[in-house]
Amino acid sequence: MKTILAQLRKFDLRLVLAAFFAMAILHVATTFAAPSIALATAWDRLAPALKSNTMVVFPPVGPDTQPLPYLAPDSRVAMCLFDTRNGKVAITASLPAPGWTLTLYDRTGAAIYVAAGRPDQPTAISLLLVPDDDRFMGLTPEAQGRRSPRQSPLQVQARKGLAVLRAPDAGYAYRAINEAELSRATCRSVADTR
Amino acid sequence: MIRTLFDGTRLGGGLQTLPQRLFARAAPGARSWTAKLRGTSFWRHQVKKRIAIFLRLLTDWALFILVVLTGGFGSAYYMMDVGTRLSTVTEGPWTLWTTAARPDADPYTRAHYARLGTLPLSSEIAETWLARTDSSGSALHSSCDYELTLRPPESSWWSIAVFDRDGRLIQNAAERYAFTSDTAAISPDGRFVGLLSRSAGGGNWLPTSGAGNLSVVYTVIDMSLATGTGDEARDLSARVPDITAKGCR
Repeated sequence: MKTILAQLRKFDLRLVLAAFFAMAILHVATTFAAPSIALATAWDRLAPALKSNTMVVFPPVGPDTQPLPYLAPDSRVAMCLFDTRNGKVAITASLPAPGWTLTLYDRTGAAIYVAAGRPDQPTAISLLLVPDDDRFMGLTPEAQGRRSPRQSPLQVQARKGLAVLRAPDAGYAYRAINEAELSRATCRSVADTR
Repeated sequence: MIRTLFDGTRLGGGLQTLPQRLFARAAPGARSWTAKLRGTSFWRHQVKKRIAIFLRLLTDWALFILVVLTGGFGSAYYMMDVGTRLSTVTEGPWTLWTTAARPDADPYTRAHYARLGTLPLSSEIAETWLARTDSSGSALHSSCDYELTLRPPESSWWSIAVFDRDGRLIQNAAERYAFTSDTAAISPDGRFVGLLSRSAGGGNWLPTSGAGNLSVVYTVIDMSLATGTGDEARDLSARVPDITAKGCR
């Protein structure tokens, strides 16, 4: 024990503390920088292949058509690269059964909106993505004292990201139905939704 | 030696830090330390001594930097790749990142999925478990056969898929890559029994031929996760499949 203590006394405590402090700074900086400096994030892989504000139904996932790692063929997916810099974006989809999900991811992969199908009834989703800055987008019909001509969609603040609609693979008999449902989902830029 | 830099050196009698001593100007009329050294028979010894001091200083700083880089990057890599109790839940070989794809996700979880390059389902509605070893802790490999057994959750959609180590699907003529609650064959006793093997098998067989190291992903989509009233109330060990090695070739 005395030998160990004698050995430990040889270390300069200030140096040890300085080393731990430097390690902590490097640890925190690396962790926070990792999403930005990662070589192939999901956004990097998908963004070049997608057109802005257009829903694209991907082909069935297979070894040669796997857009992302760990994306299994247990689901068909439709994706939309939304961009609200030039105005609002409307997304509509239907989640007819359990396993169906609609998720909006920001560029770092964090989900900003998520919805899942329920067993008892189909879920109709109508989203209006609005820019996340302080831009004035005009008065709503309600603010102008008028009734809105249609049911107000849920407004979500977002700038750029990915909307991913997943349809679970329920077997061969359901594939055409699922694909048709995916094709009905829309993602489009809207000039004015009032 | 770094201590010398902080505390100063006693060479020549005065207490001066090393940089001061190396770069200090000689007093007017006095000879510089280099001139003094050159005039003595010990100058070679003195130069050697100073080179040794410099090399020790260099080595100590290199060691210091190496320790800091290894510790800083290594700990960050471990937290991002493997995870700890701060960001994951583990049960046997299975790991679940508890705040996957949530707006309030911790930085390690964000970095983990950014590095993987995936878009995980939000943990508000789904659990995505990943295993790279069997239940005994040995790495999953395509040269071995494994049996997956699970008592599937009721009224939830789930899937089990097999990938190679990097998350790529494994080429196979049968085009089998995953089973879901809709496509899996369930035993009469209510269990799902799957087989990971490079040789064709019956039932829920997933081919693994030629993949090398394997990873298995088990996904459960359960809306009741958001309310905390669903499957998460079950014992953890009952919620994930057992992966048992049946033999290796």
